[in-house]
Amino acid sequence: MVAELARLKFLLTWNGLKKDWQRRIGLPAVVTAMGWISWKLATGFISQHGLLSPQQAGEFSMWAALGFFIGWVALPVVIFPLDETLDPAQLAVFAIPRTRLLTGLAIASLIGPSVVVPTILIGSNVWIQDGWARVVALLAGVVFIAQMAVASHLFTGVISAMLRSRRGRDLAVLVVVGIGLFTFGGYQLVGGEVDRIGVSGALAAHPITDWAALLPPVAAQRAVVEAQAGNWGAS
Amino acid sequence: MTASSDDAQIAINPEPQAADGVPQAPPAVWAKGLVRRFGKETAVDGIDLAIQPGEFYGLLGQNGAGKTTTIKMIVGLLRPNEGTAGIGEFETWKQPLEVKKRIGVLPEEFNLYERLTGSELLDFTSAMHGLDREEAVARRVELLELLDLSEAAGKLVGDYSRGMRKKVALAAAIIHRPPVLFLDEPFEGVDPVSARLIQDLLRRYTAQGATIVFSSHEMYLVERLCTRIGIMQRGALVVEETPQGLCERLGVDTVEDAFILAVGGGTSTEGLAWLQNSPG
Repeated sequence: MVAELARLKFLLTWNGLKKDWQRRIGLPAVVTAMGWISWKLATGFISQHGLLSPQQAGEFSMWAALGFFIGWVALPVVIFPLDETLDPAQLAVFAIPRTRLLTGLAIASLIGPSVVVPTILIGSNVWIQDGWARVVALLAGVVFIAQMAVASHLFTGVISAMLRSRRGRDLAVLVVVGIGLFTFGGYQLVGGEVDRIGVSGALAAHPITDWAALLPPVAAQRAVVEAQAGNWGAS
Repeated sequence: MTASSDDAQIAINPEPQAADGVPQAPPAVWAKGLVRRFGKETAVDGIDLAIQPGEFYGLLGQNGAGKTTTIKMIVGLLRPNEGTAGIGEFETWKQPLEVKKRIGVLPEEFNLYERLTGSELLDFTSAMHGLDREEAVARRVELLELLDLSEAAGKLVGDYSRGMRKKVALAAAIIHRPPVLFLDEPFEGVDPVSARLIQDLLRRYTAQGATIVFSSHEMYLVERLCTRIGIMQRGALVVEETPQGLCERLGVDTVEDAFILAVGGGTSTEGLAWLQNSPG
């Protein structure tokens, strides 16, 4: 069943390319744009990470992990017309055990143009580690991708259910506007704080470990940070 | 016709009684005290059902009566607020996988993968139901042929007409040969030739022991196909009877008349004087 879900995602993507000229133009453009943005983010992350003390760098990478996670979950709303996300509601009539469904959806989410984003960003996180911490970063990356796939499908499922009713559609517009406002507000807040006290000061003033250490995406990156610091088994 | 359901004095049939000392097999489809609320509105209000194997059961009601909500709760697509439902010995919300293995569902609003071809959709459905590839292909070819979709088999489902989508969704619902089939408005938008073929197919299917729960507003089809009907009104099951028995009891000739009597329909249109003058 896992293989069938992966095959389904491949067929949906392939058929979309084969029989839809808009996608034949749109997909390469989206892949190029997403690849370029991811590359810029990854190189920015690597260079900023190198300027910070080990403790600050750890905080920075966990903030980056949280930001990436939230951005990824919201991604289907942005690229909905170009990337097929398997809606779990469409699979509800099949007798699929939950673990196989989640595994299948996680693997399926890696088939498509959006895979370029986690490949580059998680790759950059593996790149900056040393020794065995690289292996931990790789494993944490797999866990991170699984978390993103689950959260993304939950979000897509909710949006998809909302779009089926008039009230839901009205609410979905508010959700999309909310995402836009949240992104703009977050950017202004972070930008303002960094301008005021610098990256190091902002990280010291707002340690993510104070309030989000147990959030799954932050915890996955924390394991990498602790491994890099030599604190094996601390997270 | 202005008679109300109260005037008709219709009662729901009691559940079938067990023979002396012999434990009776559980019904093919059952529900006990199903309730579903949406906000302050109660869409389904304490439904009890017991549908026996081999029955072709028609679930009827006006728009908004609660038919689709009831079916969704029985098949595991919508969680009830109260009550329980199941298929045979399995309870939908306690053993969902066992239930889903045994049912085929054609929902009212079918959400098909539009970027799969008809053939790919059926192959995917077969694989999800665990059919081996050879058998799946054989069944797919036969079903597409029967439903007059062979020529469109390689087209994307998104390019199908409404009737074609209904037919391919029906094929997906039956391809794994489930013992229980739920069909919500299966003939809506389907051409008469295909509709007749589907009727024959479904009748043969129940003759082999399968159970079909069928929701439709096409009363002539209900009359032709169903061995028993249940009529819902405002979330409650107000009538359960065979089509013939119901007609006899109400002294009418057709299921359509019986249905209108049962739900207290037949609002007068006399007030629409403006519509009774010549147009223009």
